[in-house]
Amino acid sequence: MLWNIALRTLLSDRGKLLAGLVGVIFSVVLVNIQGGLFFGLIHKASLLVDHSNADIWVGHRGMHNVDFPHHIPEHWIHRVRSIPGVAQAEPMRIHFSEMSLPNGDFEGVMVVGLKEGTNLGRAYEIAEGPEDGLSYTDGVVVDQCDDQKLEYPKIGETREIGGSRVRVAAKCYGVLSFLVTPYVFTTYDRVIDITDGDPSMASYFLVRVAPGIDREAVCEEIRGRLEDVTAMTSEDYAATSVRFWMTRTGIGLSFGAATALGLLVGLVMVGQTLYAMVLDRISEFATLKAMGATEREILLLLTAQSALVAVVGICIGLILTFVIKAIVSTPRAAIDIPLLLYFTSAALVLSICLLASALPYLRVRSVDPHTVLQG
Amino acid sequence: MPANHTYRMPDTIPGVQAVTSNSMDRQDNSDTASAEDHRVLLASNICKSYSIGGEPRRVLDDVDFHTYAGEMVFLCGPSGSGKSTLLSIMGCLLECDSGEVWISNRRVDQLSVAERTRVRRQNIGFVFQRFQLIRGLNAEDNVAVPLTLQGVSLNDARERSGDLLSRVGLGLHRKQQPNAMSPGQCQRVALARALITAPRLLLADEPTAALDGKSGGEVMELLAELVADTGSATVVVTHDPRILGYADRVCEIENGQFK
Repeated sequence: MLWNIALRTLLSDRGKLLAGLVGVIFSVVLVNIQGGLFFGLIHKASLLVDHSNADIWVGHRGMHNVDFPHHIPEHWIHRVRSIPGVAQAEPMRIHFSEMSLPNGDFEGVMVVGLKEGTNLGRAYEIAEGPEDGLSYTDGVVVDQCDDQKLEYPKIGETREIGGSRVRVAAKCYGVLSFLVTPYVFTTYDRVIDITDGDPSMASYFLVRVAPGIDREAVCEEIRGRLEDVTAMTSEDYAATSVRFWMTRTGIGLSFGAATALGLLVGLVMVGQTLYAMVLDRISEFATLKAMGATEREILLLLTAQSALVAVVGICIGLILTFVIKAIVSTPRAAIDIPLLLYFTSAALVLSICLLASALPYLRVRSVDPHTVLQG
Repeated sequence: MPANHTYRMPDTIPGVQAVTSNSMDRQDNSDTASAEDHRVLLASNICKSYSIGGEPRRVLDDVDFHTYAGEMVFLCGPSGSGKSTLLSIMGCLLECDSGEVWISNRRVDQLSVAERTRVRRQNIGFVFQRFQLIRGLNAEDNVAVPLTLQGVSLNDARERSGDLLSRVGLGLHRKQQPNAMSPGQCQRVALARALITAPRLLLADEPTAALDGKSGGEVMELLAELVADTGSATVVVTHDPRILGYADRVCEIENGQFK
């Protein structure tokens, strides 16, 4: 019966119910979209690592961010290759440079050099142009999402990077850096021509281990043989790169504050709504108490109402989140919502709604059933 | 005396007197033991003061009262005479400063809040001046509330509620919301709600105050019928002289004391 009273009294006051639902929906959508934007953005910090097809990344000692490498002697790669369990190891170069634009301006780019004939480090899939674009003379691959920044380069168009001529051989889609600097992919050797770098140095060694080999053990072995390098599994280096931006920019705090604000607004709206409903029905609660409803039953009734508002609001909020994500999310402003975030946000909002029922309960608790006989 | 045990009510109650007797004056009954057996409510030496403007004001001054099963007693008196306060104390809604209240051989004035709540749920039905029906619940569900508080399943409670609503002439209004019903209909629903559990004690606070003369008369007819059916001891607080004819006894109270 408590459920019946909770449900029917809730439904009979549709205006207040709607206000409560809006609060919950707002909270759920805000938490998920804010969280999704955060994960989408922070995911870019490790995008090169996540899609590198490598098991282990080897870089200079203290490497902390994939976009900011400190170069290491290329010939050290032979020592890496000689370690038992290493199936393949290839060097990779990452250099900053500038691309000339048709209007005479320049755009900073991050040139990523990959060894030909391997997919180690190849974080992109060709979306436009030939698959073997990098094998073309002066060929580079740019991202379609950077078209606006790079003044809409066409396939086959010639540009200059660092004063050297390059040809846009193909385009990929959705490989964007955490920084505003576009990635430009080319061959390992061509990076030196373009950026005038030291040909004896590499930025990273990407390692693939043989099947069944413990990657941590291989990392340990690499660190043992090369004192000046850091070797990490891809997952660890991706996490390290993400942590770099999290700790040095305060981005986590910023997104976290916005998310917390969303939850707070939800809490206030649900609490306020339930409180207003209770105030409106205070004599009815007094009547229930006079008829013999216990404090526990009144609390259950209010909790049931909170739970109903929360569950309906969460369901609508999650559906709305799916829709917003489908419409709004792009590689540039990616909304990447892990399944865990959906569950966490739902649990969090439900908890907050249940907490919000405490406020009206305290009001009802103070109601003396005797008042119902006082007109 | 422990508060949570059942005892027999005292046999003699000093000061209890029927001011007016219509049809069922138990004190005239020669078989005193039988009368005691039918006694549902006994309040003796009840005192209650309120603090008004920092000054204590005595609202009930050593009041004695009792009522029997099936009896309908009216409490009359001017505003502020202590009628509603006495009703609240008898209904376990308010604690008295001193005195004893017994309901069905159980002393209730010393019980905890939770225990008094249980006493109300099991023994007392209330009819309020402004009906106090729960918005959002239809007539059937409103009447079913006390039953479900006693643990009856919702379906059974609805069935019994529907039967009682038919009995009070609202069989066709079972699914209607209170705001779609007339005041007279609402008070009938409230009567049905108060009596659905056949309580030992029915307390009605100005049940006709919000009704016109015709509706008030109909409600009192119905109340008398239902009380006769359930055998509930009934105490009605009223200002309405038109309904005094329904009383078995009328007790007038003034300045916190019975006349």
